[in-house]
Amino acid sequence: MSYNGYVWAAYSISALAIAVTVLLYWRAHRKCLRQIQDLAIKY
Amino acid sequence: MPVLGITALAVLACGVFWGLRVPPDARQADAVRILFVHVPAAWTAMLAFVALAIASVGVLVGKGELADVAAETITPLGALFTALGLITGSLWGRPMWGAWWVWDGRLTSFLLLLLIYLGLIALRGALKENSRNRAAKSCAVLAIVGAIDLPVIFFSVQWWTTLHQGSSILRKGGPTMAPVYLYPLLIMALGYTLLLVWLFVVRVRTVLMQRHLAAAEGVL
Repeated sequence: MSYNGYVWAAYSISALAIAVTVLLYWRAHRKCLRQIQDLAIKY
Repeated sequence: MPVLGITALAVLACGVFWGLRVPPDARQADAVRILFVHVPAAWTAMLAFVALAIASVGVLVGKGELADVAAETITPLGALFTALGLITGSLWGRPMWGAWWVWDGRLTSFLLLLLIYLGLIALRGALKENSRNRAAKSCAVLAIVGAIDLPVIFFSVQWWTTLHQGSSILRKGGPTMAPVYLYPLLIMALGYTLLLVWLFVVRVRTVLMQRHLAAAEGVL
């Protein structure tokens, strides 16, 4: 692999890991907010 | 709250753009650009463990639910950044040293940090079903003992002969790194730190909401 190959691999893996984490955390947060809103409407 | 997240991602985007445009290093050529994702990930991993140790002290001195939630939340984030530090370091080591991995002081002590993070996740998962309080205190003790690894990581390049380079930024006499590499590195370090803080805040709020939801559903 050329030097550029290692650079792109490092950046891609970092970006992918960060993007997946942000997405999962944000979705879980939104889901919880919706559940609380549903509970507040119900009672 | 999204403002912090958007700021973190914007700072990271600036850092990546800058980092990919710096001139190639005389010795490392283009591989030097891995610096901008490897070093901030390693710093953030250690910063997360400092926060974990502080939260763990809070758990042991009886500061209640928030310290426990903070400790529970920061652990997987620390593990993520430690894993990224190890993976990007390996991708840097292969072209520079000719090896994906060497058992030198810095790399081994940093691998130990990942194992401590994973051990904390496993310990909490195993104990919290039976007793949340017992899980919190056991993890707090392990985290405080594990914090001994932080100075070992930092000073490993001074204590032992290693392939890993010595400190070039946090050292007596100031940084030895050329400004053309130092400034984008600091931008990326800021971006990673903001990202850690944002993810931490989002997760703490989520975990607190989940606990309150579970309590409310038990009452209603």
